[in-house]
Amino acid sequence: MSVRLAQVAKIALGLWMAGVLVSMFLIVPQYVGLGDVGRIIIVHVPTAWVTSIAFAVSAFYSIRYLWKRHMADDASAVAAAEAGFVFCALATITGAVFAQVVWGVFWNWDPRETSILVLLLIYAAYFALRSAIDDVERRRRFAAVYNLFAAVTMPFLLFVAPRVADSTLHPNCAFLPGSKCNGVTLQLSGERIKLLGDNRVELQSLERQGDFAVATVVVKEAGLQNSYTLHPTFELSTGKPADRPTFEGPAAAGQQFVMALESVDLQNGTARINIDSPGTGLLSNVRTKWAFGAAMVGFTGLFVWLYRLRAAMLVLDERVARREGTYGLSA
Amino acid sequence: MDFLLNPAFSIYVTLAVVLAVWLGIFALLWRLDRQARELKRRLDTEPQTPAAPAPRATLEVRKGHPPERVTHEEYKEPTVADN
Repeated sequence: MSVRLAQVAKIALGLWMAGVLVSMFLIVPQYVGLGDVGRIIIVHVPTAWVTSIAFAVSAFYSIRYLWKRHMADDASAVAAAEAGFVFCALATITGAVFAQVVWGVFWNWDPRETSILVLLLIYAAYFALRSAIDDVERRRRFAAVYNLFAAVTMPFLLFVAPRVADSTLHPNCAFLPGSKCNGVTLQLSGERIKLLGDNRVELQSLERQGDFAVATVVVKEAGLQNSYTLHPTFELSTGKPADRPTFEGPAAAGQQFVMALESVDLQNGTARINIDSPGTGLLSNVRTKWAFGAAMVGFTGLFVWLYRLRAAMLVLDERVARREGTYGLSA
Repeated sequence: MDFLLNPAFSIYVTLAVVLAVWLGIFALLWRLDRQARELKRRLDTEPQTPAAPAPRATLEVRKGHPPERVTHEEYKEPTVADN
């Protein structure tokens, strides 16, 4: 009965993922400024998310192996790490495709790109370690301990490091409703120049015009090649940004960044300035949001199937080796 | 073939390619899953056959002596003194 149920679930997963792919191309609308390439987030973000789940599951089984010393736990740890590696590579590749369209290059050593590459290398070393030790029990013990160290780095490399970095083109704050990049606070009589993303922003003036505060901000892109003078405004009575001038992003034809004046203090001459990068607010569209959620569920289900199947194969491999009397012999 | 790259069709072509790739991955996983289940069933049900007996080697030793037949249990590595 459970086998039949599992088969039904697998067929349902196949249809579900097919539906996600169809919705990705035919239902999700184009994102302004990104064109069709914006659809890639339906794959890119869930694969990155499943990466973190996979490495966490792998670490869980490694702890269980060290505790109980069951071979099946070690097999599950390896299988989850392998699946996580595949999803991590997928996230990296889809991200590079996105970067090519939005930033103009596949790879530019952005903090997000660098951190995910380091994560891939850390887990590649895990597999190398496993293949370097012949003694089966030592291999499992060493690999389990290493896996715990690798798992500790994962949240830092996936979530913390790219956000701590001052200069990143990756739209960090795009996908959580209500969550926004913090922007920068500039002061006419103090710090009037700061870095926002890869853009150098300078507050040149701040004055009141009726019910509006009008700022003059000069934006210089990375490399300081292009410069824009913008005049974002802030409505004092409502306390909300009013005019949001746009400017073109680096090396991306047709891509638009939006500047907003999020708060002002006219007495002290300070203004909080933010830039909406491409991708920000992508999930405000309902169809995109549902397709995104369905992709998260689908990819998670696919990961569960993958790692359980791989773990079962590893266990069977050992059982066959024990039967044949070749257990523990190197290939 | 140029019509496949026509902007009006290209998104459908891409969708068809991506769906074909997914179908291939799904078929592969399904097949592996079925084979793993079958192997597990066989390992669970079929009794383990006794290990095959060790092969008995027959060696011919020629050192100017007539051929002599020894079993692998009786065979000794030649030493320097033998030469």
